[in-house]
Parts: sequence; C-alpha cells; structure tokens
Amino acid sequence: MNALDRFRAFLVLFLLFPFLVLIFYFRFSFDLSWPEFWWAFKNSFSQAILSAFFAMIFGFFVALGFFCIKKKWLRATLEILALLPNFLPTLFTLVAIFNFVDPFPSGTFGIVIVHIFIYFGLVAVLLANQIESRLGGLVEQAWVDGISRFQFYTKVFFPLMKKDLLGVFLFVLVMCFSSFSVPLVAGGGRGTTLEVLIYEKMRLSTDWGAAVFLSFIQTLIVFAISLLAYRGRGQIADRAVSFQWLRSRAGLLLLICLLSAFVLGYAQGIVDGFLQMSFFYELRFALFKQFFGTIALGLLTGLLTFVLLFCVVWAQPEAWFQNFLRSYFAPSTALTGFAFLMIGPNEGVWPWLKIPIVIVLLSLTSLFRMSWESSIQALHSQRMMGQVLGASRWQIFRQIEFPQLIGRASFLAGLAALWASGDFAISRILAHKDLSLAMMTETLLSSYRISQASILSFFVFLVGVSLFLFFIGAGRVLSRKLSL
Amino acid sequence: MSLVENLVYEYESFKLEIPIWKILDQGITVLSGDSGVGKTTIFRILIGLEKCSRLKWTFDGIDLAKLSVPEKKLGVVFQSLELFPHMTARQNILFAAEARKVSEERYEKKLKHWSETLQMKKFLDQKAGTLSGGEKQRVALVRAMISEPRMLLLDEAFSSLDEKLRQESREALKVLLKEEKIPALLITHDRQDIEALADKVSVLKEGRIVEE
Amino acid sequence: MAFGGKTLRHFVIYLILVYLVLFLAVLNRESKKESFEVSQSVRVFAYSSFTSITGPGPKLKALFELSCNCRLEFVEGNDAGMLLQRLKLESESLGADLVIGFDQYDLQKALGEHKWRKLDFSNLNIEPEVRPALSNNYFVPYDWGVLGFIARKGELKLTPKKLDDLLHSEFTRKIALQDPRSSSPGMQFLFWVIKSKGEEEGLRFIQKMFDQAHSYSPSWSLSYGLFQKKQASLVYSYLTSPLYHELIENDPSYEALSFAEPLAIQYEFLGIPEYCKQCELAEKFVNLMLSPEGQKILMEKNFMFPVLKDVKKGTPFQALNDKLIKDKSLMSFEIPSNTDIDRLLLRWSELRRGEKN
Repeated sequence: MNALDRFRAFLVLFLLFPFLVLIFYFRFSFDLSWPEFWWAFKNSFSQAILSAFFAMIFGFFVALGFFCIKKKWLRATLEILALLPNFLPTLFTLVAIFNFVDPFPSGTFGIVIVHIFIYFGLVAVLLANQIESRLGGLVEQAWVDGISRFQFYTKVFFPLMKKDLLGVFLFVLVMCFSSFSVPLVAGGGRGTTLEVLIYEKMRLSTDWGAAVFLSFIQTLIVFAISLLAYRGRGQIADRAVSFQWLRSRAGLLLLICLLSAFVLGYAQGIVDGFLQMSFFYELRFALFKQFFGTIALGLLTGLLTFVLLFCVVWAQPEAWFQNFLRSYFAPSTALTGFAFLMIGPNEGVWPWLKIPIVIVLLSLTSLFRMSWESSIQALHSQRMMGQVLGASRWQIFRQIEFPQLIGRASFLAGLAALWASGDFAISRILAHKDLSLAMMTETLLSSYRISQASILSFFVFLVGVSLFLFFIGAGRVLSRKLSL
Repeated sequence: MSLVENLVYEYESFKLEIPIWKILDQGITVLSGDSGVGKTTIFRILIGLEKCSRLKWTFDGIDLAKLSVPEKKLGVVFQSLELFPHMTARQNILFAAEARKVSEERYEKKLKHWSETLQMKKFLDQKAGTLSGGEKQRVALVRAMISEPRMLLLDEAFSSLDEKLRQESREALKVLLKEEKIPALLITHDRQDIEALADKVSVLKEGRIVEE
Repeated sequence: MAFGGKTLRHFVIYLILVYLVLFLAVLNRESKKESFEVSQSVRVFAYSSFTSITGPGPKLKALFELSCNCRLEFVEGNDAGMLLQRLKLESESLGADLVIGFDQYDLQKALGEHKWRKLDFSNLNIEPEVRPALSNNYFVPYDWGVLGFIARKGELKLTPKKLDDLLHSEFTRKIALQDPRSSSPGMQFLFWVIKSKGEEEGLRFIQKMFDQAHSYSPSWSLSYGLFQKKQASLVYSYLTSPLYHELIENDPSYEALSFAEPLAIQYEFLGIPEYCKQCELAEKFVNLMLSPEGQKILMEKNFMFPVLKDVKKGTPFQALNDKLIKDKSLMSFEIPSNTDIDRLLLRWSELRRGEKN
C-alpha cells in the first residue's frame, strides 16, 4: 500500500465512519416486521424515484427558462429565489403547496408534488450551470446547422449530459429517500417510509440495531442504483456562448408560477412577522449570537467541503475509489448525528466541529456525483499531459487541477454552506443549545410563533445566500490571485 | 539506433503486432499509414499511456519501457496540443521547465532564443486558450523541447494548420531539432510532412510495420 | 451563476469586514462573561422549547442562579423521546443532574433504561387532577395540560361536541392531527380514542378518522402551523393554546372545544438520575420549579397548567379551567406499559398501511 492508497483508504474510512461507529455500538438486529419493512421499502422507493424524476423534468424546463433572462442580476435573483423552497422549514413549503394544489391528493402522488416543489429550483440551478459549462459551442453549432430540437436532445444533449443528469437525479433521489416530514404529512397511508421506520425503531422501540440495519439497507439500495450510473467523460467549454436557442419561455413561466405560489403564502407570514418586530428586540442578544453561530457553522462547513473536495482530487484517479464515491450514501441524518454524539466530548467547541463534519459527511458524495466528478474528469487529458511533461503529482495538482477547479469547488462549498446555515436537524442532535438562527426558527415554530419564525427563516436564508456568494466570490478572488 | 521490440497490443478486433522496429537516434523517423490503422495507439504505448507488458524499447542502452511516464523524459506534442488553457503561453513552457527541473538560466536563455526564432514574443503572455492554431503549435513545441528530452514525439502535430503555417511549423521543428540535436518520431499521414522532414519512413499497415 | 465580477469582489470584501468586526465584538463579550467564576454547575436536560428563550428555562435559570451560587446549564434535545435516547447513549459521561420533560408515555421507558433517585413530594399542596401522577416514587409532575380540539371562532357550521361528531362531512380533510409514532400529542389522541371507545371500537373510529384528517404531522408544531395557516379548521392541541393567542398576540379568535368524552391529560415530569453529580442542587432547582414563583413562570411561558394549587387563581388559566374543565371528568392517570404502547402503535400503523390512498 503506497501513500496515495493509504490516503484513499483514509478518505473512505472517514466517509464510512458513522456506520462503523453505529455497528460497533449496536450490531445489526433483524428483529423487524417484514411486511412492514417491505411496505416502507416500497413507499420509499417509489416516492423517491418518482419525485426525483419529476423534479428533474420541472427543473430542466425551469433551467431552460433561465436562459431567457439576459440581465445577470435578474437571473441571479431568480436562481436564488428558486432555491428558497428547498431551504426553508417544511411548514412554509407545505402551506404554499396546500394553497396552490387544492384539493391536495395525499399518497405517493402527494409526496411527489411536495418534493417537486422543494427540489425543482435546486435542480434548475444545477442543470443551467452544467448545461452552460458542458455543452458550450455545441448549442450554437446545432442552431446554425439547423438541426431539430428533437435531434439535438437525442443526439447531442442527452449523450453529453447523461452523466450530469444522472448525478443530479441521484442527488435528489437520495434527498427524497431520506425525507422524513414530507412523507408523513403528504403521504397519507403511504407515509411510512424507511426513514420513518428508522426513526420509529430508534425513538419508540429503542431498537438501535434495527435502525442501523434499516439504514444500511437504505444505503445499499442507493448504492445499487448508483452503480447503474453511466461512466462518461466531460469537457468544459472555454468560451462564452449563446444559449438563446435552448431557452424556453414556458420554462420561465413555470418558474414564475411555482415561485409566486410559494412567495405569496410565505410573504403573508413575513408581513405578519414584521408587525411583531418588537418581539425580536427582546431577543436581540440571542439573535446576535446566533447570527454568528450561523456564519461560523456555514463557513466551517464550506471550508471543510472545499478541502475535502480537493482531497478527493488528490486521491484520483482510481476506479474503485471513484465507484465508492459515486455510489456511497451516508446513513440517515439522525443516525449519523447520533454516531457523532457517541464519540468524544460534546461540550464547548465540539458541537461547532462536529456539526460541520456531519453535514459534510452527509453531503460530500452527493456533491461529488452532482458535478465534481465530471469537473475532475474534464481535466483528464491535461493531467496526462502534465505527467508526460514529467510533472510531479504536486505540480499537477498545484498548477493544473487546483486553479481550474477552484471555481466549481467554491460553488459546491457555497452550496454546503447554504445548507449548513439552514440546518436544524443535525444541530439539534449535536448541540446543547440553540447555536444558530435556523435552530431558533425551529424553536419559535414549536412555541406558537409562526410569523416570527417565517421572518427569521427568511433572514436565515439571506445569511445562507450571502455565505454562498461569499464562497463563490472568494473562489474568484483566489483563482485570480493564482493566475497572476 | 533505438530499438522497439515486442510491441503487441490487442483491443477487441484491433490488433498491433510489431516484433521489432528501429527508430533513428538522430534525425526524424516518420511513422505513416492510413487513418485508423493504429498510429496513435503506438504513440501512446511508447509514451506509456497504454499498457503493453512485453514491450522493450532500448535507447542509449536503457530500456525505456521499464520506466514510468515521467521518467522516460520524452518531449511530446499531441494532435490536440493539450496546452493548459488557464495558463499563458509562458506559464505553459515554464510548467514543463519546472517539471523537469531545468535550470533557470537555461530556461531564460532558451525561451529568449526560441521566442525570437519562432516569433513568439507578442503572444507569450496571452492565455493559451486564446491563441490561434499556429501560435498554439509553437508553444506546444517549445514546451516539449524546453526540458531537453531524450526524444521528441509528435502525433499529427501539424494537421490543424493551414498549408502556410504548416510549412512554417516544419521549418521551426527542423531548426529546433538541429540546434538541440534531439531525435524525433513524427506520426503523420501527410505526404508533404514526409517529404520535408523524414530521414526514415516506417509505414504501418494492418498492425505491422512495413519499412520503406 | 451569473454575477458581475467587480461588484461581487467588493461585496465579498465588505461581507468579510462586517463579519469580522461583529465576530470580534461577540468574542469580546464572551470573554468578559467567562471572567466571573462560580464553584459548581448543574446540568439540566430538557427539550428545546423549554430551554429556549421563549420558554420558561431562561427565567427559571436566572432566578435559580441568584441564590444557588452555582451555574445552571441546559442541555437540550428535540423532544423528550430524543432526550431519553441521548441520555441512554451518552449516559454518565454527560453528567445529567436533572431531566425535564417526559410525559406519562415516556415514564415506563425512562424507568426501564435508567436508574433514578427517589423523590418525595407527596406533601405538596397540589391540584386534585395531578395527585395521582405524584404516586410514583421517582418522577414529579411540574405542569400539566389538557388536550382537545382548537378551532377559529365562528368558522365552523357545526361545533363538534363528541368524538363521533368529528366524522361529519364538514370536517373531511380538515383536521390537523399528529403521527403517534413521532409526536406525543399524536399518542395522546390515540389513547384518548381507545380509552373512550374501547380498543376495537376505538381503532375502527381511528380508521374512519383517516379520511377526516388533513394530515398526520410528525410534530405538534407542524400540525399547529398548518392550522394557523388555515389549512385545517381543527387541530388537536392543548386547551390552553387559545390563551397564547389571546395573551401574547391579542388575538381572541381561537377557541378550545369542549367534548363529551373525558379529555386526555398530559403530565410533564422531571426526574433526577441516580448518577447525578450535583444532586442537591438539582433537587433545589426542582423545589424552585415547584414553588409558586416557579410554577407561575412555567404556566406563563409554557402555557400549561401549574401543578400547585392556587397558582392559577385569578388568571385567564383559571377562567379557562372553569369554563372547559371544571365540572367534567378527565381521563384518569395511568402509566401505560411499553407493550401496550407498542401494540397500539403497531395496530395504528397497520390500519394506516391498509388505507387505500
């Protein structure tokens, strides 16, 4: 085993860590009611696949809608707004949907609707980004050549984008698979998913072994689906091109419809919240502290993500390692949280370190699938050239990989930071008290203060977005520095 | 004379079988043949990018096949040139110099000299991604040569240029090779390349070398 | 993403500066705070809405620290169920001195999984409804609530007066309920129905309720939020919920409904683990919580009834009590066994699964 292999093994162990801890403490237990398990499995599986599939379709059209917008600031604003439903506490999203879809069909269909609503924006932002970086001049070429849209999509778009689409699809799939509140509220009788079962085993029956076993099965399923992933190689466009041809007004309209349904319901809460601003005055010290808590958690998570993404680059290329990253999926959120609760102290600075680590553990492989892998692969030939020129691993990393990947890495780090700033589920497990504004939002919700919670959640979102922009900006500054 | 032995390679129905092949250790050897016949595969095998377990390549008494890709110390120009798009022309060349730990003195001297001979001065500080085909070509050539390679390998290196530029590039190549006294292996299917440059021509046909 | 380069750079620099300055300010505050030293610290486990700034925790803590020459530190968990899990996993390493917040459905599990110190508060001057809950040796109730349905005044054509009224077509898909597997009010509702109607009849009723439910939320807060956002016309909650809107928001438009069936009571308990380190201080804090002063804080911040007699006298809580509870019987206290809970949940899940949608 050489140094690089040891490094890879270390990364893999890091990602597997929650499982190792859980298995060490609890062992598997198979004391399950199989009909119930089968029922939960079927529900999880069907709702996740359908949700991811439709979120992809909606997101795709909305991505094309983005291409209609020429003004950069407007596009940026819409992209940010499109992320909103994915970010806010479930309650606000649910209320918006229930207002919009009436009567609401509960069951698998209901879950799918909610998930579409939550994820379409994220999918659209990711896809628009990837279409721009991947297809580049081909879109113009196709336009000039006068080939039909159908031909373009079947012959150019899907073959080239297959892998990116799959990455985003798997990302959404995993999120839907482990979704907890949505199936319970919107799923009617089909609301029992594996994630719910895991929670039930853990909380009510105190049967951790069964919970760990279920989570393991959940991971195996996603692993199997991921293995079906197609291996492709990407190219990154190196010039600005026009995506006019691809744009879709209908997509833009769809975005506006979905967003306005959402914003209308949510805005009402914000207005009510403003009427009770005096409440926040009483909380100013706590708010102040938790504002920094949010920033600190976001920054740490982003930085850690940034570093780990480059660790992954350093450990390339190795088929098994790649396959592992592509297919692995961390155990359920609650279980990962508890695994970290059990090891080491939970006082003082520890929650501040543990929470970002857990968030990174839960999101790293998703980020890898989503676009990191293809970005790395796009540099394949340059890496090879560097090798032929006799460059050391370090020189290739420093001069070829790092400068060209900073942009993408900081985008992904920004996403992780955005997520971290809105997290309360993991923080609630690992922290002894409210550390961040998101946790506070949740606390307000559990004490009748729904309008205050909506206004605070919007503030959290703004903080999250500024963290996201911070990472993108820092990435640009860094890459400009490097290219001087 | 450098000697390639046992170059055997199979991939699906495609097959290469070259028991022995002599490459000049001075001047330019051309490997020619129709497209798709496997020239580029041979090129990649020699560089070490494709596996070929029984290959032996004796050069100055050393078996290059046993060395790793960087250890082989070959100067390589791919058909796609593979300049690093985010670096300037100068940074591209410097990258290779640093990689092979070329002394600063030599690097400065050579760069100055070649950029004059090859008229590269005006675009040395431009990003490689924005250079024209002919400019890229010259940068790739200098990048390959800066580190005093054992041998220069070029794969269809002129194919993307127009006739006039091609002529210029051939001249540039000749000058460089003569000054540096480095042998070269050129892969091409262009008759004019062969006429202008070849000291020896090997033709690849149905997976075998037919020498001329 | 599409953002202009220069503006972005300025924005980033600006952000860094602002954050840095504010961060230093906070650090400065923190370090000042730490400089005053106290000899001992008590660790109290509680659920998050208890310890939060809107809950009774901070006020009780401040009051306690005035006199104890110690520091009180809250360790919070999502809810009581998760708190117990956490206690189990971290156990003694956490050094919990006091655990606050489980209800009667958690007691059996709490007893089975941990050792607790005996507590004797039998001579407290306590409300008669709470008396039976005091009969165990380890856990003391510190507040209690009565659960029932909450509606907006004047919105319903038909006001439900008994469980069967809920099956009326007016309420189809209009009742916000909680999932008993993840929420304690959800569990309360399940037991309320079973106790009122008997197990088989009750489960048949539960099945019919599936059509009436707007949704089964994983938590009380989500279901109540849906109700507040007018997604549902009825929500299963605490009878004291309308008081919050009245007292804090000056909004008298909510009302708690009276039902013919004896209503379910939730008792909130505290207990001191056997391995406590600051056991006496913990007990002191319990005493504070059970003092008239502490009880008042609990009532006003938690919106639950105090256990001590006379604390709610003359308050809107008493008025509510008189109006809805006074002359009617409430469900009698019992600690359900784990096997009962598991069996009922399993049957609930099976019914839910069998539902056709």
